[in-house]
Amino acid sequence: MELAIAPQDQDILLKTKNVINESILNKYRLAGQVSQTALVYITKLINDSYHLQQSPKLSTAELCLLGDSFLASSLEDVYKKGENSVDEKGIAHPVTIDVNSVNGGFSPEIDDDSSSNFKFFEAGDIVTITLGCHVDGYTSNLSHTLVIYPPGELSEGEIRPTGPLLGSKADAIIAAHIANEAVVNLLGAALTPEKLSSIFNGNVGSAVTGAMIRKVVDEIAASFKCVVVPGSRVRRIRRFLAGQSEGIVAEKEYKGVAWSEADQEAALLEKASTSKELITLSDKTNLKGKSINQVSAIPTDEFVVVPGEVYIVDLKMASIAEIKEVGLVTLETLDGYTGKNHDKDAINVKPSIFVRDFAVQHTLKLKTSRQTLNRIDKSRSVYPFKLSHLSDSFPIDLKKLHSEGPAALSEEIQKVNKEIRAARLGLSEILNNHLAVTRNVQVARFLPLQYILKTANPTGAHGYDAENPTLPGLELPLPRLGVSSLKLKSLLKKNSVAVPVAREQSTVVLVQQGISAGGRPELLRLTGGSKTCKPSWVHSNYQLDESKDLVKSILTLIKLGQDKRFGINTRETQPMKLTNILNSGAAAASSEDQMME
Amino acid sequence: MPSRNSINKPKDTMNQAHRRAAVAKKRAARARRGDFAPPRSAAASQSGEIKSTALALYTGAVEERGPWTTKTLSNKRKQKIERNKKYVAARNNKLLIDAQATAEEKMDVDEEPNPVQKKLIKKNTVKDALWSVIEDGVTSQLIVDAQGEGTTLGGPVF
Repeated sequence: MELAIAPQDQDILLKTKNVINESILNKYRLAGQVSQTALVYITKLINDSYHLQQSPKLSTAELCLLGDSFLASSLEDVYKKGENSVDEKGIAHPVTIDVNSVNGGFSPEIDDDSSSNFKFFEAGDIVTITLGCHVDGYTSNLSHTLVIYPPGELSEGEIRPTGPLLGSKADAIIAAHIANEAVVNLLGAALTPEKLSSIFNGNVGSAVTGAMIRKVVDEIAASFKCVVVPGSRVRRIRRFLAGQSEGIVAEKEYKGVAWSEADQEAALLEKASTSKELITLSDKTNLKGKSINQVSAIPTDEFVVVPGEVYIVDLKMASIAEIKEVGLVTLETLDGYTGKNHDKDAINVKPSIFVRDFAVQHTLKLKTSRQTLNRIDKSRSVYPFKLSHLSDSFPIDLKKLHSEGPAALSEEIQKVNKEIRAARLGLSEILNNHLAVTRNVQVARFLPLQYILKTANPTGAHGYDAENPTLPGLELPLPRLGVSSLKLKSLLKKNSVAVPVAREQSTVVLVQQGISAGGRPELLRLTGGSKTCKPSWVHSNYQLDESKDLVKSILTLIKLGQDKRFGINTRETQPMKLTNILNSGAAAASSEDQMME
Repeated sequence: MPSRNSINKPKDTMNQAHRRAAVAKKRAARARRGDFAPPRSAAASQSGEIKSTALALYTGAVEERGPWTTKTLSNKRKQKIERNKKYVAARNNKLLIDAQATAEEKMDVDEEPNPVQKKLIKKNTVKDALWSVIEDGVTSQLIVDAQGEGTTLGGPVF
C-alpha cells in the first residue's frame, strides 16, 4: 500500500530537508554525541559489574532499560522551546545487547522471565551493543562489539584483563573493526577522490562506488576467514529514513550495498568455475511490469557516493575458520514460539521490539489496545520501540539512581514492570491487525552446503517468507540455485551450527565544501571512532596479506584517514563527560560542540 | 408415552433415538466381529489394501496370513484379466515403434534442447559447480595458511 503525498511535499521531505546545512549538521552532531555517550555509559556499567566487580551484576534487561533511559533523558531538554524546537526526537534504536551468535534485536523487557538465556554474560562472550537516537529525524546509529573477560588482575596500579581473546570470535571482531574503518575512510575519500588509489576502480581519482565498497569489505572478510553476515549494509540514510523499517516499507531511491546469502553463493561459484555465465543473474526479466519506484527500491552496487550525503556503515562478520566444511552463513529468526518444543538446546526469546506500520488502518476493539496505540502514536515515531518506552515512569531517573545506589533501581523497575503488563495486553491486538510489526531476534547460523544441494526442492523458487520481509529484490536467498527462503529455513533446524557475530556500525556525514568550520570538505563521524569504539584486546592468527594490490591500497586508505594534514579530513563526535550528566543537569548544555579534531 | 398418532407427537426425538439405537447395534456387531481390530494405524491392519480378494489372489499380492481362503477367482474375472494383459502389451509395443520412428526421422537434425530442458541443464551445472567446491574443500582441508604474526587490536585496558 502506498501513502498518498503531494509531489511538492515529497520534495520537501525527501530533498530539501536533507540538504546539509549548519542547523541540520548541529542536529546530527547532537544525535551522534548522545549515542556516543550512551555507549560509554553502558560500557561503564558492564565494566563495573563484570570486570571491576564494583557493583552487583546487572542483567541484560536491566542494562537495556538503563541505556534506553539514558538516551531518552539526554534528549528531553534539547530543542524544546523557541523557534528551534523540534516535533520529534528520541530513541531511534532501542539498546540491544546481542551475545555471541545473536545477530540482532535482543533486548529483553524487564518482566520477561522466559529469557533465561543470555541473562548474564560469561567470560569469553562477545557482546554487541547497538543503539541509536535522532533529533528531528536526523539519526545516528551505533554498534560496537565488546569482549567479556574474566575478572581482571591488578597490575601497575590498575585492574587489567589477563590476556587477549583468541580464536574465531577474535577473528570476527578484528575483521569487523578493520572493515568498518576502511569503509568509513573510503566514504571520506568521496570528498577528495583525487587521493584515491587507482587499484579500486582502474583509474586514479574516480568516484567512490558501491562496487568498490563491496570489494573492500569482501577482501578484508576473506583475509580473516570471515563471512559478511547477511543483513550487513552500507547505505545512505535520510531524515527519518535510517533503515529502521527495511523490508516493511519499500524505500524509494535506495542507495547502498546490502549483503545477502546470494553473495556467498556467488563467491562459492566463483571458486568453482571461471565462467561468468553461472554467476550473473538475468534480472532483466524480473523487472518486467514493475514501476520506476519499485525498481529504485532494489539495491544495486551501481551508485556513486556524493558529498552531502549521510551513510551508515553496518558490518557484521562471522568467522568460519574453525568449521571444516563448505557452507553458508545465514540467519535464523526466533519468534516467540521457537524453542518452546522438546528441543532443550533451542533458544526461546520473546520479541520485544516493534515498529509501527503507518500504512495500515484498523479500528481496534479493546479499550486497552486503543490506549496503547494512542500512546505509541503520540510518543513514538517511525522508529522501533519497546513496551517499556510507553510507561509513565520511563525514563528512569538516572541521577537519583546513581546517587542512591542499586536499591533505587529495583524500585524503579517495579514501576515500569507494572505498566508493561497492561501495554502487553493491548499490543497483542495491535500486532494481530498488523498496525505494528514485530522485529524478531535473529541468530547467525552456518549451514553446510551439502545439505542445500542434497535437498529435494520441488517447489523451486516459489516460496515467500512473509514473516521475515527482506529488501525488495532480495527475496530469494539463493537465486542461482533457486532455493527459497522458506526452504532454507526448513534446512536450518537440524543441520546448522550457531556462529558468533561481531558487528561494528557507525554513522558518517560527508560534509561538502563551505559548511564546516574550516570551509574544507570533511568527513564528520557521528558515531564510532577511535575514542568511543576502541576495540577490545583481541588477537587473530590471520593478517592482511600485503602482497596483494587491493590490500595494499586498503592499508594506504586507512593511513590516509589517520593523516591529519594531507589525508582525509576527518572529525569525530566526542562523547560528553559521564560525571557531568549523572551528577548535574548538564544534558541541556550538551548541544554545545565538544568537538575534537 | 403419547402414541404416534397423538397431536403432540414427539416425532423427531423418537425417530432419532430409534435410528441411533439401530446404528449403535450395527457398530457393536462389527466391533465384536473384529472389523475394527487391529486399528488402521497398526502394522497388521489390512485397511487400504486391495479390496477384491479375487484380484489379489490372481496377482499374488496378498501374503500368507493365517488360514487359506475358500474364495476362488471366478472364470469371468480371469478371462477379463487375460484380455486386458493382451491389450496392454499391444499398446506398449506400438508406443515403442512410434518412438523409434520419430528418433530415426530426426536422427540428423541437431536441435536446440527445448527451454524446459535447457533450464534443467543450467540448474544442474550450478549444482555440479557447487559440489565441486565441496570436494575441493575436502582435499585442501589440511593447508594451514596462518603464517606470520597475526593481528592484534586493542590493549590491556577494560
